[in-house]
Amino acid sequence: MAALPESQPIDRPKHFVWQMWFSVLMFGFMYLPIFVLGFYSFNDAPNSATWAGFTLRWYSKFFQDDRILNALFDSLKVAFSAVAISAVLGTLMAVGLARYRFPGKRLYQNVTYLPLIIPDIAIAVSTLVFLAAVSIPLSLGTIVAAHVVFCLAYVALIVSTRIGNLNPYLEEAALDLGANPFQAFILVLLPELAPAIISGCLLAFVLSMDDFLIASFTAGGGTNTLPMEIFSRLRTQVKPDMNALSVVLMVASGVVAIVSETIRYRGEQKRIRH
Amino acid sequence: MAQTVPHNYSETGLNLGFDIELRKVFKVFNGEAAVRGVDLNIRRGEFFSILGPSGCGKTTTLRLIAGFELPTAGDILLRGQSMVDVPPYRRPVNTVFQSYALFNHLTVEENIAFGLRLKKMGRGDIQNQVREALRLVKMEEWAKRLPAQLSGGQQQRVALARALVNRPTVLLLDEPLGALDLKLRKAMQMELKTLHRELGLTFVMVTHDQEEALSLSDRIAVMNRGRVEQMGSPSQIYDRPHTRFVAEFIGDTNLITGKIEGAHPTMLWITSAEGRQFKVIPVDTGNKPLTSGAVVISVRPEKIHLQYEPPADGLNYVEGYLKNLLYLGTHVNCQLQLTSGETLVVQLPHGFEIPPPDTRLYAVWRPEDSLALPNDS
Repeated sequence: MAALPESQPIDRPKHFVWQMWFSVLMFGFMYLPIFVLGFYSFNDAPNSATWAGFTLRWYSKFFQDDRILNALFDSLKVAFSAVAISAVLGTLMAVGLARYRFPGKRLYQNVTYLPLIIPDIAIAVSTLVFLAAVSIPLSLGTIVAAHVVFCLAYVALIVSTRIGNLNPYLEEAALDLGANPFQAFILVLLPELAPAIISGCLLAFVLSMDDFLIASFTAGGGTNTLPMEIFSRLRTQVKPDMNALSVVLMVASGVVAIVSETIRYRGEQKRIRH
Repeated sequence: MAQTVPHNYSETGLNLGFDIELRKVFKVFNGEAAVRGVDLNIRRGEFFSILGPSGCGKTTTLRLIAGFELPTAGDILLRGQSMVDVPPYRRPVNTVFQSYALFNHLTVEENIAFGLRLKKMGRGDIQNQVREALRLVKMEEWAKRLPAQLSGGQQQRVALARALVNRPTVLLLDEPLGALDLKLRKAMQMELKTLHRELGLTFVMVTHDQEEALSLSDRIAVMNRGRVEQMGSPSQIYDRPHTRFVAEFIGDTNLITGKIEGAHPTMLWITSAEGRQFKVIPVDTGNKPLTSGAVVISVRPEKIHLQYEPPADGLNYVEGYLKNLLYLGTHVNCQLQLTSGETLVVQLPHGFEIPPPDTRLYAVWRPEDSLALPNDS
């Protein structure tokens, strides 16, 4: 479509235009499979595409499945540890990058955000190769270490953005009022950054919970995260209780993501008028 | 919190000692000198302004006093004590930042109490002092608000209270009114002046607004390119600028370039580039008296009289035609097109009839109403 000349006033008709249909089509393409999945999670037929009536038994079934609950527990352990480590390191990293000048800073900055761009499979394979090379046995700990790699990048990125928008004189104001540098960090900088830190952690948490690829490469014997468990069951056949579990996971991720965005948005609003 | 330190507004009065002394202070950033050999003596209890265009080093000078920057060379003394090795959080000075730098996660009250809490002051004392500080800046009813819920002027008041509540030896103000609109700025200027009088504290203000500096300060240091060009009372700065830069930066002036033809301790004879003769009574600037070379004559618009006839002997004059009228409310300025091709700004006296456009006018001033300054730029 030819670009409109800029001077021409845009006078859109009120009824649906082609952009509208295009958007509907795109959203349908993206979300219809999820709705189908959600729909079948309430289907009473054990493994067919025919509708056999409404049920919640698939939901109650996986809640009684020990292997799934153990996998969930492993996933939570990995996510909480990775996020906790990333929160501390990521915040310090963002503050350090914003406040200090040192040789190689630009390089460091770019390397920090590299895990956001590198494909997961590359992180997974290289971590595995590295761990084998230095002969560290695979365990739950190795998944945590691998997850820290990308969680750190997300936390650092979000906290950095916030620092960039912060009044650069806040710490000086604290020093001016008698706070030593440590007090200035704890009493002023950290509270001002808190919304960004929390939002970054929630995002990292969701990503860690959802990760299958990296976990499956770096997991030791006996450890099994939730996405790994789901995948191993799906290899044989699609079962309705997996549909139900997927729905629960999606809803939970969605809620965390919305909470994270809300916190970040509120924080920005609070800051926006100085 | 009023202190009863007697202070001294007169230019020549008894010297009560210096609160701040800067001695040959240099500050170099990445090979570029922002401050080059600044000497300042700021007296106890005075309202001192550092005035200059952006990039002149005035904010750096203030940050050196606050301790946010360390001098590359030179010494900074506070009541006779060298401050160079003292970190900002141990210096008895407090700063009002240009951007206020209020803590957004704390209420107005908590912002003001911040410094007192760090001093481990008792809860009751803190409460009393915060209330007193809020009263001082007329913000009592906003105590529980967050900074984001306040207007710019209100934030400014909180920033002031947050600094003043610590009873600093010196209050530093970095362009404190720069972000306010004109009307609010005028009102806050009055309040700053009142606060200064009531508290008897030493105020050091950085500003680029010459009007603000002239109206508020006891003394002014005019800075340019990292150096102090002139230091003195507002009237000294305005009436007796020592350099061409100061004459141009403070107020409006007309500059006529020329060369000294003859010099006597009581009179200079100067010929302008167009060959016109001017007489100027030299003033003691503390510098070497001018005796020869290129100079620039500075005449303020309000020192010039307009008339239809050439003046009697002994007065300086130029001739020209009316070009533009500039209505300024309190008075009218007019721009004269001189026969030499240049223009001259003259303040019209009250009741002066506006001359017809093609009438020849004579702009006249006395030798003592103009200044000869070295033409260094």
